[in-house]
Amino acid sequence: MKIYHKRNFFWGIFTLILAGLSVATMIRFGVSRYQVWVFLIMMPSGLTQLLRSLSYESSKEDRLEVLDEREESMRQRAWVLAYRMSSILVGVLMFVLLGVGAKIENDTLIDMGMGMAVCFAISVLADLGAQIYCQRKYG
Amino acid sequence: MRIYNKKGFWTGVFMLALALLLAWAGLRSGFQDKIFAILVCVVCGVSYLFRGLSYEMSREDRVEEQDERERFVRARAQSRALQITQVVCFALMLAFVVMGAKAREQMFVAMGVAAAFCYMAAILSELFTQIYYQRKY
Repeated sequence: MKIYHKRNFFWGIFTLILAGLSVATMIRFGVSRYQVWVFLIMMPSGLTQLLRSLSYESSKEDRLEVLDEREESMRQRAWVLAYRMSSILVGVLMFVLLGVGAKIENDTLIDMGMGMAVCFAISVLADLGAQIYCQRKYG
Repeated sequence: MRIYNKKGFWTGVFMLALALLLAWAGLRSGFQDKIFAILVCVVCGVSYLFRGLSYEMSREDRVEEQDERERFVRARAQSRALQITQVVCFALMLAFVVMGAKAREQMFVAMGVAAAFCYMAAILSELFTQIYYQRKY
């Protein structure tokens, strides 16, 4: 048995671990509809990734798809748009949660706003770091 | 007075509004830790505002923005930033939830929920934009 696509293999393992964790949670705390859904999504998806990474033909297909210029350009555009959308959403939510939390003096909302602020700061810093890295790499 | 670069101009206005907001908060609760943030906001805000109102500088900004190489670098950087944000938000979510459960502190749980929301927002926006571009092209 040989691993032909390492990324898919480890992604499959990770997904199967999550499925296993959902089973363990169900055994410990009882079956819930949410956990069943998590298991039903994670299990087949993890198995598919794992089996594809162990098959030469499927791994070749996956690799070709990743290298395809059109696919790559589309993925790039989608990531850029997704980054902007999620940053704006998190930034707006941070302001709303902090504002509303301060107004009605609710600590939970303020804590959530702080969590959002941490994530927002991380996304801005990641952008800044990546800009510097890419400027150096492609500059 | 004419606005030559709307994006730059409104960024400047936003930064100055943020500085005003911080100054107002400072007047109410003290300036100790806000002075630096106010200074940064004012300097950036004024700089963006003037660049947005100057024809020469706005042209420079626009040329730089439309430069193919710059666009490529920006796109690469933002896609990398999305991936980093996803990984860090996921790790933060797990860390906060575990810390909250261990220390029985509601603050950590709330921050974990916020990190989970950010992670979900990043994943879902990626999913929807992928579908959008798959359909568009």
